[in-house]
Amino acid sequence: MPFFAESYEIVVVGAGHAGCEAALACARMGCRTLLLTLNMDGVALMPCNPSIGGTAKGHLVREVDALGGEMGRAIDDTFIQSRMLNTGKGPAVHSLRAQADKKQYQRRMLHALQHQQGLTLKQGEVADIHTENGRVTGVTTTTGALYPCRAVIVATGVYLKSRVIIGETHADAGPSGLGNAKSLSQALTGLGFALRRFKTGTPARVDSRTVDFSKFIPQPGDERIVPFSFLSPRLEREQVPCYLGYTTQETHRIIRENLHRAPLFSGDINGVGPRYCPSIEDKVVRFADRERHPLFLEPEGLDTLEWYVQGMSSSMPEDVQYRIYRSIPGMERVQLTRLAYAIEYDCIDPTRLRPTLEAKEVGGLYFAGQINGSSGYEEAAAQGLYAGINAALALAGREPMILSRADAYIGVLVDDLTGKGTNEPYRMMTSRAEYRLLLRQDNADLRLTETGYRIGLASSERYERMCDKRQGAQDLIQRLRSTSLRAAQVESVLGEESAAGILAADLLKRANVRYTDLAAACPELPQVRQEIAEQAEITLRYEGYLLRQERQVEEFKRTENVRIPNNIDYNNITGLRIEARQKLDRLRPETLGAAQRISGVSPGDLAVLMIKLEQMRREGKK
Amino acid sequence: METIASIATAVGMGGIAIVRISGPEARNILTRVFAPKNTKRGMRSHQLTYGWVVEGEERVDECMAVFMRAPHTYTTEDVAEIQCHGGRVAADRVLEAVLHNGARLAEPGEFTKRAFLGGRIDLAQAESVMDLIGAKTARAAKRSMQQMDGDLSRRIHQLQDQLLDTVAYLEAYLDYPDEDIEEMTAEQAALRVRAVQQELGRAAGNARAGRMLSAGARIVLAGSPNTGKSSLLNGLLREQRAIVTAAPGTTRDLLREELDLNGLPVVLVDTAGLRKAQDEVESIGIGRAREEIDRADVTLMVLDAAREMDEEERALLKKVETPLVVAMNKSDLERRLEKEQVLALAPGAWTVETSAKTGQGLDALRRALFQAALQGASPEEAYLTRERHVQAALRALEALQRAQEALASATLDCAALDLRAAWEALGAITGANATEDVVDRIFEKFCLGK
Repeated sequence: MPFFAESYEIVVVGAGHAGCEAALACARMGCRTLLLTLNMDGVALMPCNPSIGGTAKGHLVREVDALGGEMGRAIDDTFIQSRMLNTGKGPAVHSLRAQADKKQYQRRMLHALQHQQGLTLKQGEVADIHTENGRVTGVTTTTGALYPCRAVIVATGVYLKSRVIIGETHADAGPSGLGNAKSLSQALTGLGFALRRFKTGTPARVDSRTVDFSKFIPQPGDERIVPFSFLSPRLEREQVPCYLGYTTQETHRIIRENLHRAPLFSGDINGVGPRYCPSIEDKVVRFADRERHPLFLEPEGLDTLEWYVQGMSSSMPEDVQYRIYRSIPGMERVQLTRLAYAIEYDCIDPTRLRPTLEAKEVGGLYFAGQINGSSGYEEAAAQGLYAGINAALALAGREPMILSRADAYIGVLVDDLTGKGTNEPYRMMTSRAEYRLLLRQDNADLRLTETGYRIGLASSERYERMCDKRQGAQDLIQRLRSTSLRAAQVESVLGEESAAGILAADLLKRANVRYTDLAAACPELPQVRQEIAEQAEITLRYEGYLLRQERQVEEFKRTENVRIPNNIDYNNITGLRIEARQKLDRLRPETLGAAQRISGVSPGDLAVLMIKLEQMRREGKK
Repeated sequence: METIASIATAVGMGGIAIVRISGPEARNILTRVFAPKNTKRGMRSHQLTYGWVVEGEERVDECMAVFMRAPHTYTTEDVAEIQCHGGRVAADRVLEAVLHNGARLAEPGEFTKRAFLGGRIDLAQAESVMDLIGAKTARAAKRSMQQMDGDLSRRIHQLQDQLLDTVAYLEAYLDYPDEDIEEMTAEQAALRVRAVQQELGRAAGNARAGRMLSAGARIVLAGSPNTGKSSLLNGLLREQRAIVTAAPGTTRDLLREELDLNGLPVVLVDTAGLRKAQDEVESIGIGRAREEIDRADVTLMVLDAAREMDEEERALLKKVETPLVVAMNKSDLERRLEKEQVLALAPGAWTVETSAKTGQGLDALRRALFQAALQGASPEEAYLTRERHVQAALRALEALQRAQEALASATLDCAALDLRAAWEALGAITGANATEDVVDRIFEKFCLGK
């Protein structure tokens, strides 16, 4: 029999990266929030790679930070190596990545949760979600505690009915030897959600005493560290290297000879796995002509001898795993401290969600993270924050915070998931963002902090810093546009003779000219912070591209701002082709822009739809 | 906001075609392409005006035009409409003039879209537009089905495919910095892009031939009065019609005749008439004749083979930049002029010996004009025939040029955007969506992941 435990405004189910951000956002926005985790030792666990960020993912972390989230500050406090990737390839794809000390990261996040006012963190498994008149009213745990609440955020990660597969061995378990959640799947089915099986995997961890690191190429961190958080001060820290190595022909031979024992190929795994995160056996089969595949050794933390072997995820039986790993130069005697495994889990179809991540059919029920078919800590954190913010706004009767594809990677993420859905675990990539020259990691604060401040999540300190940076960049750009360098000054910047003076702004447009060079040559130019100089450099150098993208965004916004009423009946619109009718009816886009992005909706269909909308608007007026 | 234009009436139906222009530049574009008969009165909003659509000095078509100031228009933007003679050729030429003057070709349904986004739409009009769109997409579907089997689609798909490979390569390299992707240097990408540029450039070049085959070529006749030009022209027209007797007092500056050249519709413009009429101000006449020559698809220059060239003829031969056919007329008389002398001044010219008197060489002249108009392209190579496709190809070429610049300055993120833009421009011909395709291609081609 359930007993009445305590009532909350919001209950967050799961304390992974999505759940942590969601719970913190809700509590910080003034909602009494309960965060339930399957295991107190699993809070903010990083069950796979020991790093945060990377291409596009690093952008997400900075956006989470700019809105007032926790992940950026947590990793800044606990990283043991930091790198800005892609620095030679253009500003849109500069991406920050940091190696985390996993245990420290967990402790750091746990500290934030436990010290957050208005937030209660408890161990407990949710068995049921209660609704009344299509709205959430509470949750019950497997031990019978009933928590009445007005909103629920489901952030269960890969724990729903998860199954861990190592060769012929299957275990009814969660990742890293933790337990799984057995009851909630049925509750979700009962609420009308069709569940799907997705699959992901992780490589083995190895004992570093049994690795000959001299056979690997060291990968050091950056000398000049750029923090994730816009609030973090300049950081200096001793860093540890990672190591690069390669598989051999022998590795590939072993894999090929044992394919019949790989559950992936023997049919034991039914879940859909991601293409971008293939197991080593998958890589060897699909890219048979490759002579070697790269792998990276990454420390799991400072006070452990366990290292992570990136690139070598597998679900082969234990004996085969040993043979595979030991075929790598430098790992001939390696001991595996944890075996590689594949994991299958239940997730929902995210097209059943509104652009706020609230379920279309159940008011107050939000979903975030891997349960939505995404993958990755950063994708999870971004959704958690987004769902948390929107749940809190909704309970306060305020307008939702919708980020569009032109605002943020978070917007791209949510729009892709809710608008198109996904057939495999979804990973963010910069190539998914149409306006990526505008959505850079360096301007995440300029794009989002004002919004974060307005909704009451970003602090005033954060807001003022952003304003200061924005103003500083504007002033500097104006200054550069009105300052000319004399011929001699130009010469000292370019190192070549110059016949006449040149406008500072034009000089900065040349490749390899940095603002510091100009400031050194021209005393009229002010000394500014690096982040301000960087904004001026990018704004001036990529002016043409930025303008083109801004124009595209303008076009985009025109259709994005036209709302489609919930009660529209697509089956009664003559002129829509059948395919368009079915897809629109299934996905029920909320804006004309979202309708436009559905594959199978033609420009003709769109015109028909617009006319229908106008008819509806006029009838509504009468 | 871009200004868009397209033919608003069904193609090839009815006696009148309407070319509609919408957007902030509508008025300016109309002013540039439309010359009202009554220049004093000026154009008032929402009032029909009679006049001509002009390209430079040439009157393209006799038209009615109206300008409608925002917001009381179909799209709520500034709108201009030109009512011209129905039929593909006339309407296409008017549309072409509008596009050359700053408008972009509208996508299907785009006017309606703007009308809706502007918050205003005339329901009755909308219903009929709906029917029209329905019809259009049905036709478009049929057409694209035909093209699926055809050359156009196959070739454009090939180009898109090459671009997609390059984009996927760049994107994989950008999104997976740690992976063992055989490093695609900017130079390699530039080479691949160059190959697409060349092929597309050829196609766009041949598009001229394609468009000419459907819309016709403009051949300007040049040469001194005593070369037998008029007789030659009459010979080409295959009927005795003395062009010099074109009714005096008409407003036409130039004499125009239409003829069918082995299946290629041709407008022949005789600049000589102009010169004759303006003997006193010959220098102006020559200037205008040269202007005509500059705008010609082909220049046909007639020389008197029985005498040496004069200074003016030499100068003209050197100056002509359009494809040039030289008819060495009066070949029945004693010859005083050799082909080599002509070619020395105009190396790329087609030369034909003719005699207007005996009719000798007329067939050869027709063939030479045909070849010059298509610039050596065989009609089969001319697969970009529609203005819409040519515009798409030109947009793609523009983006590719930008991509080259971005590659040269190692901003690969920008280069990838430009290549996508090119891909999407071509997608306007084949109809496809870029982002998903790029992502799929990345995973198809590269071994990525942890």
